Amino acid sequence: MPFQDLLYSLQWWLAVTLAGLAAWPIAAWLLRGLPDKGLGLARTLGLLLVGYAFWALTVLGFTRNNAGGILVAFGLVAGLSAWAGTRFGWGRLGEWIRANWRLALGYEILFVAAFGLWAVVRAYNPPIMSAGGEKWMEYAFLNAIDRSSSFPPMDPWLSGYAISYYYFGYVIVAALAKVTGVPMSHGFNLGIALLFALTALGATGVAFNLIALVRPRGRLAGSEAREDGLGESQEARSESAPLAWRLFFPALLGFVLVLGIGNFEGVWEAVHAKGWGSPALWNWLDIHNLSDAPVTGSFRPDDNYWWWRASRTVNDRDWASGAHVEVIDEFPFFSFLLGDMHPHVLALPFAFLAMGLGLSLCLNPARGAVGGRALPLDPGRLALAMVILGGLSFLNTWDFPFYLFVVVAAYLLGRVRQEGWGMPAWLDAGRLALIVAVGGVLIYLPFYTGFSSQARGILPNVVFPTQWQQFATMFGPLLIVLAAFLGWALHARRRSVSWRLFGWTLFAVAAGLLLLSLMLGGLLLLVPSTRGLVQSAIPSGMDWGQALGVAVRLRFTQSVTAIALAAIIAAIAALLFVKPHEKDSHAPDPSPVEIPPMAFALVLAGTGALLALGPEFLYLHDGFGTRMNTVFKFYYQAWALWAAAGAFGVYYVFTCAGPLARRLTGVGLTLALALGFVYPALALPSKTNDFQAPSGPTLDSTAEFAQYNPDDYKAVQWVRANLKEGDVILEAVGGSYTGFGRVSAFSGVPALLGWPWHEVQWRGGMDEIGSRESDAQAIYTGRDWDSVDLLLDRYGIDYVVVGPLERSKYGPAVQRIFDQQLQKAYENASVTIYRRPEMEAAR
Amino acid sequence: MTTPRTDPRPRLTLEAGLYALIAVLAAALRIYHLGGHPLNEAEAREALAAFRFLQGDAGPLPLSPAYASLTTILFLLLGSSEAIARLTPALAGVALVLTPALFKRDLGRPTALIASALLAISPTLIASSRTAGGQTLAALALALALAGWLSFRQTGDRRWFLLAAGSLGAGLASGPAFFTGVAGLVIGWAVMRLSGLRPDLPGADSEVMKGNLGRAALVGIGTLVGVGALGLIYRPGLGGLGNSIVVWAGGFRPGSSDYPLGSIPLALVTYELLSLVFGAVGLATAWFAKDGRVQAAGYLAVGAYLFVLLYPGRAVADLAWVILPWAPVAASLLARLVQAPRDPEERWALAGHVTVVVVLAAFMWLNLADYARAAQPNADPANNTRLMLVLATLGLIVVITALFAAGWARDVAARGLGWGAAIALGLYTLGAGWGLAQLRPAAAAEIWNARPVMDGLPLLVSTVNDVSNRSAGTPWDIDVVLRADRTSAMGWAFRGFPKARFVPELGATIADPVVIAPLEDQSPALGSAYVGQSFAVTESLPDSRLAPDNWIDWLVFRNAEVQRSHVVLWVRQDVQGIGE
Repeated sequence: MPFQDLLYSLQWWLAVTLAGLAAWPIAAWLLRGLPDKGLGLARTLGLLLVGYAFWALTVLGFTRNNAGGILVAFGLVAGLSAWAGTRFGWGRLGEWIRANWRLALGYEILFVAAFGLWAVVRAYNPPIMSAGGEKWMEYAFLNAIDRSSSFPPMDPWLSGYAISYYYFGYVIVAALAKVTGVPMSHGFNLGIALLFALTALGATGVAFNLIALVRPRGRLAGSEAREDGLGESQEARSESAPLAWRLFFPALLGFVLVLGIGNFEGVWEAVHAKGWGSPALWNWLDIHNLSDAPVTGSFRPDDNYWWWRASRTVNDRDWASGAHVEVIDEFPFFSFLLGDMHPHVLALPFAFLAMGLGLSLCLNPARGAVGGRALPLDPGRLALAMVILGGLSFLNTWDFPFYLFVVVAAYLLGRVRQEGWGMPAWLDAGRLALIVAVGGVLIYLPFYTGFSSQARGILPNVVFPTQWQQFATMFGPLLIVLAAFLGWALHARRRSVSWRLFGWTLFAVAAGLLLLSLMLGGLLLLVPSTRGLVQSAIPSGMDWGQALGVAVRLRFTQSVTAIALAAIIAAIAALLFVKPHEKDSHAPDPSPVEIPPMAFALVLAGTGALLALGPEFLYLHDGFGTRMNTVFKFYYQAWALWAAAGAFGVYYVFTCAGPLARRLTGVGLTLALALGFVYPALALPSKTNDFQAPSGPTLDSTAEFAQYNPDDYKAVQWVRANLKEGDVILEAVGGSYTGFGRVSAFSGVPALLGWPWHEVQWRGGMDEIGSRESDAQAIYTGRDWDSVDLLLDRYGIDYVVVGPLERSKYGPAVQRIFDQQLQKAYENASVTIYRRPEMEAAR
Repeated sequence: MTTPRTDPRPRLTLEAGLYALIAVLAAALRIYHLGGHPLNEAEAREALAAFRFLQGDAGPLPLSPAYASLTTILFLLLGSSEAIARLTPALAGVALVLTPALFKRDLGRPTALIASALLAISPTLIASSRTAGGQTLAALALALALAGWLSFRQTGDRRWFLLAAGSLGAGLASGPAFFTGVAGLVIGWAVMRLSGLRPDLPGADSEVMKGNLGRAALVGIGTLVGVGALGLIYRPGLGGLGNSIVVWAGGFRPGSSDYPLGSIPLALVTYELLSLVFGAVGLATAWFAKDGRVQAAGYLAVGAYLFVLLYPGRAVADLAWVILPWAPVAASLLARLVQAPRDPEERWALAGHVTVVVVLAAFMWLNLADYARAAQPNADPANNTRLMLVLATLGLIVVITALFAAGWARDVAARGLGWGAAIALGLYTLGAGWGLAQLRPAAAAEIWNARPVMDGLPLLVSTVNDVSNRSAGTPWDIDVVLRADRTSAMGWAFRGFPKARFVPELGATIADPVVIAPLEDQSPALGSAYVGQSFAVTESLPDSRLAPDNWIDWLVFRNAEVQRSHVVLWVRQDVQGIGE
């Protein structure tokens, strides 16, 4: 790797570390109760707080989008942190860090190692041009944000408009690049490495905090001893007493389960590549395109993009034709392998921050007050909850309600632990949900005012049940771990668990959701404006009665996934409502509610199960018209939640269970990890070309573009250097996931139109786009200068790009009219950029 | 028994009267003819940050939020002009001159008073105070912060502590210069500790400090936000704060300054000879006398000097950080000399000695001026004789001083030499200050200036006013296209033209009545349809400013080769009045 890249990495690490240091006192003060004093989450919190302050100050006009604005935001957070440190006690913090320096060192080594590892992976796989996915768009956002002097940033692919997308993550990455002076070409890949490292740190941090609250079996004597070994938090002990830093190693399982493993599709790929398995097996498995993949005779698949199939494990079938219907089921390792800097990846570290907040509230749900009015929490923690959870909406909108649920449920269980299942706890939980939901929106209000979502409501899913073998392939490793955890938890309380409650919950969840989806379908049929949605889903030649019959039949013949998930939810409900065993007072089985880490782990597992179950019956009505994105977004968070819960669960079983259960769990975990590692082991070499880079490893994401499109690249460099904010370019308009929009994407200078379909998705319609695509064509192919000039004037276009892409799209004679009428501002062998002088003088 | 009644009315003491006189002198030097010269590029940028904000426009981010926000108020109340743009630093400069009064406990009354007088005539501080920007505000804030901190340590009065906090807040808002000052202070402190000096300061009352830490933080942040952003009314203020940090940090990049390393010592010798000479002797005297506080001030000055020298983003204006602590060191020596002998005979001898020294110094200067006047001094033996005369006169002063020492008393001779030198160097310093205040024509030749805007700019504006009057009926309403940055000196000069447009390049189809473009812009559009006239708008020393061909000529008369840049005023031929 070039020395310059190492230097950039160092600068990046330093900036993130400073943000973490600045935020740690706030974490220690407000994430109270966490055994690690929030150290594992401090970097993520620091980036969130600095990013929020920077964005808010800039959007309100107090600062500009420059390094100075970022420093002001950093200063603000540092000042706030100094105050928080005073409130918490600097002496306490110092004492804690002296006692727990090994843990701090462990976190630091993990962060540096994860950051370094993924920087190396990116260095062998750096391009954004031919790497698939939507990197083009992400890079366009980063560059556009970088060029915007104020916020909201301009949309690089729709001139004259601000970005209509949840762009907070891009603001954070662009701010890091700006403040460190790292070019965006490198910032893109360093950003992905950073997200990987922050996720690793967050997952380990949440897992550590959960397991550090577990008291080893038999450590306490007499009546304090508990059969399951779970008890008081280490928080209750003296802060000078060091935490068991060795717990850091089992906590690493959180990192491994989230990021270190893939789904079991990798196993099927290996088996198929080897030539094992009958056609019947592959037909039954029904993973899209897998049966057509080449057999190599070895365990290593070699077709291009084979690794992509792991993100398309779930394969919906059209109920009439049986045709493939695309469903996305990414998991974190895949996302980082792909190197997409998409909102679900950008939000991942912050999801773990939200989990940390939830655990803190579960441990310490103390109420607060302002001006004599009681609040469910003290104002500081309420504000933090708003910033974190509201920030999730700005990072990846779907995550806001998910983690609001996690946090509020955790708070509720914390309150229940203290005062039982009484109405005050429920009321306060409701108030907390309301305050954080409203406050979380209000403090990010400028984002919402410029955001138009493609979501148009909830639709019932009556005909796409997930095939259980695909679901098991997708979540196999985590289901094994969860089964061990929940199985043992139920077994340990087998005498006190209400099996009736379990049964009723199972029935209510499965049947209720089915009923709900059917009722919703019926309701949509009754409303004239939505009737068409349902009608269009019914195959031609099938009447209502037949359709209903098919839907119900599908539900009954492919119900394993839903029932399994309902069983997980029922098990968790049964555990949470368990009552102490009355017959044997000497060995009471404590209710998990009384044990904060376990209660919280059950909340995580339960929320994950609800998210996995949701798309079985409902999905969000978006531009795609299928449940593709709903499955994608729901499953992604389910993976993160189950991984965190699973890391705790494994430790819990190993710490508390008897030899047989430990042995079974050990076998299960070994199996889960061994099979889960197959995908990374095969995909990583494939994606990085066996860690071979013909021109040497580099973090420069534009190197490939520069190599294969040198003229375009030089033109982009000229545009970057010479165009001012407010200038608008015209370049060829074309389809998504292609090279169209390359000048605007690589420079950040707004183009008339980039990828039209993406703009439709971001804006929920064509209103803003209008006739731009055809107008672009009219400009490039027009022969009457007056009408061309009128269009250029209408859209305020300052520069017209004519390169190979324009010639291939609009014809070889495309530049004749511009040669006659416009000045050449830039020219190389195949790219010419024309300038409209009138527009210059007009400003 | 009755207790004596104290008179509650404040009495004008001699000391207060002298401070008032110093303030008047300082104000005169700082405010007289304040708007006489156009704003240079850096000044214009800062002034435009305030001006554009008042217009509801997104102007440039200020480097000094405190300057910009205070100037915003002045512009709002008094309108925008060059003088008003410079008024905030000028007033701060007057206040800065009086800050030694806050250090009376440490320096002693006479030393503080003389230090105040030295600051009043310091060319560096005069020039800083007459420059639109945050330099003087930063100096004032840091001086007040230091005074507040020292007074708090001495008295334990929390109000001093809060003053220090508030001043720090104001300092942070005053721009990059403040960080240079703080860095200089830190290095000076380190130098002092390395030298083994422990100034005799009482320890701070930690209980009072702890008890007021929160309040002090609030006062500091409140002042920062209040002064830097007018309580968030002046919204670019916070952004400007960040901007100033970035610019200062960016100054560590090699080659980030317009000033070569040698310009700093050269400027010090050229402009601050009085303080330099007496400060050096004063520091040596304090060292022998083990006067820790004067030594401490000296070390702070040395620290600031080292930082200014080593900081790649240096500017001659940063010498203010050297002069501020150095002036008390020089003043300590002058305070020793100022007492008149009791013996009348010795008084007459002293008066005679002083007169002789001053007359001989004037003679020296005249010979030097004559020497400098020659075009090729080395070629003319007569001129070399002038130079010899200068040296001989210097020797004569030494001999006469020795005779006075032998004939009367060493003490009288030393005072005579000191007083004489102080008067002679004081006059020289005043002259230098006068020049730096741009009150004499050769402003461009001052090494203090990076790139002054010369008088061609107002002439250009008034010519456009004439054209507009003839064409549009008012001096302002003509369409003007300028190939310039709207945040530049040109942007400031043409701020009153509502139809002025600033473009990066002139288009081929340009047809506006008035076009202003750099001389080198050979746009074909400005062909036969336009008539043009060149204006020299900027003038400055060449980049190699340290080596004027005749440096004595430069020292005496500021004669040096300067480089000029021109713009051309193009007026369309059909504009009414052109060609009449």
